[in-house]
Amino acid sequence: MVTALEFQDVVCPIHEHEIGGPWSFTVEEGSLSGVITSPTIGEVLARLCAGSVAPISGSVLVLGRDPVGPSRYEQLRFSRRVGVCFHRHGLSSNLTLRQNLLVPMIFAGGLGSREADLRVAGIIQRLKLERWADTRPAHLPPEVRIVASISRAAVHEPDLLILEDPATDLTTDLAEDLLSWCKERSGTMLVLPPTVAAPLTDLVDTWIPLAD
Amino acid sequence: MGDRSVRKDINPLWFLGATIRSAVRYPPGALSFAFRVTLNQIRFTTVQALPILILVSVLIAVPMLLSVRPIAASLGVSDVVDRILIVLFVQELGTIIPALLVVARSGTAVAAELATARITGERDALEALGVDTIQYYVLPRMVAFAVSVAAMALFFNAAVLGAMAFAQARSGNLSSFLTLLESSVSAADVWLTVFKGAFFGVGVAAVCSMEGIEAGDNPIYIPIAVSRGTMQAFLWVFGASAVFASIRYLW
Repeated sequence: MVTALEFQDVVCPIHEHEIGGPWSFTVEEGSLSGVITSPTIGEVLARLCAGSVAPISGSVLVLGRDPVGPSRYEQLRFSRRVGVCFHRHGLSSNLTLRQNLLVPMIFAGGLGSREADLRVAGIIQRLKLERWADTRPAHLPPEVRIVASISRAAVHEPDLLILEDPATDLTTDLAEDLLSWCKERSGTMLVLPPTVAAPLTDLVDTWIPLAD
Repeated sequence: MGDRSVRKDINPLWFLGATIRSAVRYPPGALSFAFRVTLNQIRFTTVQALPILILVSVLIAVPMLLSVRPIAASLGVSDVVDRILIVLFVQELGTIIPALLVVARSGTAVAAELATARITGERDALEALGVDTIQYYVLPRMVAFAVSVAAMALFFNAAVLGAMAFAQARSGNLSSFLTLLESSVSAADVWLTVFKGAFFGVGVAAVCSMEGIEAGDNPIYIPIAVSRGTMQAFLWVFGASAVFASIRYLW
């Protein structure tokens, strides 16, 4: 088995006065793995994987390399192979749902506007978002915001998809459909929910214990 | 994690270098999207500001004409003073005042918008997806501000010179004023106004974006970003204007 993600004795600041870890675990390529953890630590783990924070000690290897790139551009280029969706949806407030899906495709995915438009239209149709496609995030129902932000993380078919708490605020059917779609688009997935609930109980291949 | 909440001091040279690198690597597929964003920004910055720009130009020109011209007439130096006013407006104030208006109206909005994007997680989410936020947020605004300040400088000068021509026409001196205008303003002055306006606009967008984009992850940093962005943009406008004047008149 090939390892897609490896944490080795990782220690990282959680808040200004709190240190988390050491954490050690691996995620195998092609699997859908889950780590049950608090929202705070879930965010830290997602940020460590995204390379937006660096550990104090230990090592994080994402797709075989340190996610903190030697330069801003190296890191951005690498980020295109890893989709991350934080618990805060982070949708651009002045763009419609459709435009929010377009932005990573054309700015990070290297697609032209026309091709990106077609792909986004397909995603919107597949996820039944037509009704909300031209609505800005502030006017979207909470569950549509979650679907939009998770689908945005998966639009350019990353090699590894990391989702912080993807299912808590969704109905079981909606979460199952969304995560199945994500699994089709991304070879490897890691979810970081605070509790184990349906549909994650059925979908997750491996639950990883997080010793803290 | 803790340090994300803290505003970091930004190195303007780093930001300048990052902006140039991002411009060089701009994804061709994003051009039409960026073009729409830029047009929108030009609409907010220029078109919607035109009424206030015209009002400001009249409010500046009329008191100046009312106070200075009678004194000049009494001293018999009307032509000299008119020439000084034309040069003062076309070569200096004509770009400074529109640039300050853009700082007050749109630079503050950009700094607040980008600082808010940081706090709401928009910026982090985009960077985690590999989107270069300088390409996405900053470059379209730099282009829009460059076009806007240049266009507003031309509008401002036209309004001020129009007000002066109107005042001269009322006193029956329109033809001599037009002759004076022709001898005082060359095509090079107009091009210089456009170039200075664009240069000021790029700098205003850069400093306001820089302060907004690097604000800390805490709402208290929004007013700080706006305040710092505004003051730095003011300094930029006056400093760049002084450099232009030095180059023009001293060398």
